[in-house]
Amino acid sequence: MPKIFNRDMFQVARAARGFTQGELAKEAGITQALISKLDNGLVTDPTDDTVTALARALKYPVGFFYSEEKPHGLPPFHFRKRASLGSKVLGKIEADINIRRIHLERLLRSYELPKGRDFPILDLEKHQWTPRDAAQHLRGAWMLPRGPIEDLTAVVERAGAIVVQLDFDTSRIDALSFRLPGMPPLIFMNSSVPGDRYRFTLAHEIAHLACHNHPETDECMEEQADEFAAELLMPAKEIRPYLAYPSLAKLGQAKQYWKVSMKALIVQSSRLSMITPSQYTNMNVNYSKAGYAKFGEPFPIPMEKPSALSEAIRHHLETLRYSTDEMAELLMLSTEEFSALYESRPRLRIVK
Amino acid sequence: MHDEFDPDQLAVMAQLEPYLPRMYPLFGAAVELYNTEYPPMVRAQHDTRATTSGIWCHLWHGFQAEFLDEPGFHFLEIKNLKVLNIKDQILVRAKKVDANGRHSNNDTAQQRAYDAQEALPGLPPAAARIVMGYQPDAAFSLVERVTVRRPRGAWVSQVVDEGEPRRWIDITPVELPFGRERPARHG
Repeated sequence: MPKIFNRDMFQVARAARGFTQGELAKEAGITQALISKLDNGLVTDPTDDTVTALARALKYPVGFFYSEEKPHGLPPFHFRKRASLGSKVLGKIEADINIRRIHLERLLRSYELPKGRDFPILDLEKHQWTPRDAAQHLRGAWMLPRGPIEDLTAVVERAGAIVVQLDFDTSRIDALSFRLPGMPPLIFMNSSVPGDRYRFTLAHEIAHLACHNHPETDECMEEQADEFAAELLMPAKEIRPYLAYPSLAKLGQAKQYWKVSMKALIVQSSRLSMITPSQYTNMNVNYSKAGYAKFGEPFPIPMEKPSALSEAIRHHLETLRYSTDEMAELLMLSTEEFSALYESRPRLRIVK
Repeated sequence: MHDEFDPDQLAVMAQLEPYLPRMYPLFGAAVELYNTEYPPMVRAQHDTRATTSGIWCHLWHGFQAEFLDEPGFHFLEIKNLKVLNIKDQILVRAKKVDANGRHSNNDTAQQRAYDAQEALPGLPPAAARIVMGYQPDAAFSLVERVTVRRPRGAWVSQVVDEGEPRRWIDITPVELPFGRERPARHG
């Protein structure tokens, strides 16, 4: 079968490494004109030497550029973003997510996710539900006990989703999630956020995946997702006594039990009318005066660790007896990059 | 340099200074113990008063564990007023304080008398009545500073960690010309 140069994968590789055309030309020792023509599809059949030079510069195996994979564009919604992102940053995130998504597709050919609870679609319009109603329904469907959710990542993975932690190299975007045909719901989380923010973000993404299958305005969906996340993590009926006469001292203690940020507790206090608008303003002022907005909150919440992806890797290495080199080939990575991405823990050795 | 200070402050702090390195860590340890040893649910159900009270119990226990066998040190309890008597010269109460080193009391005659440096049955009359206080951060996650104060605004010292010439510095607030006395329930 003839090898066909995959322009899309070339673009993914360049974006993942954060190279401009000029930087890549310099690194690969070829002209920028050729890079530009490859990017624009004007040259579709580069020589083996060119592809080898590109592969070396971009640190992907040659096979990466001839694979038949098709990258997906990211959905225009479901971003929990704090501000607008530059196209280069967004391009890198999109490329990283596509590469990880391809890894998952390849791993799931030979690995079956444990069957757990379903990840339901909750149609707010059809059931005339508020986001709070939907969150309560989901807590029931997933049979979550009363009180704080101990490990939200484990809960969502038991429901068949896959959570992947990535360093987005920016604090402006916390997560992306989407459903693709034939794949479990995918949630890509920025690993560089504090543990309490991570949990709220994950709950927010669960809202998007469960409730937002008919795109509405971004603002409306974000508000709904925040309300849903607050109810999922801090059910109104149960959190109220913890928010009575709140002070930063009291919220600091409530934070550690409910595993949400003090800021989220302040917002929830206001949302549930436990404090007046002026008290809400005062609490935010005191929160900033205490330095928590600028330097972070006390009582850090440990980061949750997903396990579905690492279990799939472990299955290949230990049950299917793939070598590290074979895993790298399967995932179209160099052996070094495979080890760096997926073998951070010491490898298990078989004792005979 | 010491000439700048209130002579009473110098005298009291000089008597306390040998013990400050052993007293200073007790405050942080009590807050840390409260934040690490109680289950999160229990702490989340405490109001600020319960938190302060819990920390105080561990703090006072820490003082007792450290100084119970110290010659000339006596732990007194007179109608719930718990005081460390140091050689009949200094009486120490431990309290949570604000940024000015001020503490709050239940408004009782006994508390007012202590803060006013008045005689109380069972307490050595000539001893200086002081309050050693800890100022927590807003969330009670740590101790921002430890102070020693002669109630009723005479002077406030801040206990400092090692590396300074002395183990304390003067932080007595400057009285502004339009300042007013605080309400009686404050010390």
